[in-house]
Amino acid sequence: MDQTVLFILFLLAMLLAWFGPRWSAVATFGIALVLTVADFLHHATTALTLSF
Amino acid sequence: MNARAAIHLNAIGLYAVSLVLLLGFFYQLVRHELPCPLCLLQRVAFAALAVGPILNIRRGPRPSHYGMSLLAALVGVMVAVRQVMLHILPGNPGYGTAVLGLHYYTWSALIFVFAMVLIGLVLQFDRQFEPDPAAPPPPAFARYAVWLVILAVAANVVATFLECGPTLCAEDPVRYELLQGR
Repeated sequence: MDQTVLFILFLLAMLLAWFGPRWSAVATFGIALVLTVADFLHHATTALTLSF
Repeated sequence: MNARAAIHLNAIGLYAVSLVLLLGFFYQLVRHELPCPLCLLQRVAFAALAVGPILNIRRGPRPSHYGMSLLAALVGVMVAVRQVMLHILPGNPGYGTAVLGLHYYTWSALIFVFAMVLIGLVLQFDRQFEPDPAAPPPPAFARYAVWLVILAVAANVVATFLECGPTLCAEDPVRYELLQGR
């Protein structure tokens, strides 16, 4: 669900970039990117076993 | 490089992003390999990568549009490298099928880094940013690129909703939650 929302937000940013005012596309992109990082941090919980 | 050449280059970039997203679909639909949450986030980052070029094509090249793509590529490489690290130990089979010897997330990491290098190089050409009041509307080649990538992202909206349903995606998905139920 979280990734579906992110896809929708970036799709909206694309449509606004083509049809809407520039600032709305940039703002939607910014919000979506911050949410993407937040979602990544939510999923990046598994400990990395990198001790060789 | 003037604005018109830059717009063509941005269109080629959009075709490349569409190709990556469609290849992901190929593996998902033909080989029945469902993308994991980190795989989906890399696709999301590819979608984010496309917003800057669309703005460049529609409103003319600006450094800030390239900056948006750089930020998207940075997020993408962060997610992809995280997944590479999860599967880096010897003996780990990785997630999904390898394509030309590398897994999808390894290709993602390389493509995002390549995109960052390419954007850095394209930013060196200042003439593209000179205002051109007589600039023609975007050529058909660029318009098709925009709509192709928009369609690819719209298809991802549907596919992701079918895979995950109204809840969080499974860490190791094996079925479409919305089609087959829990």
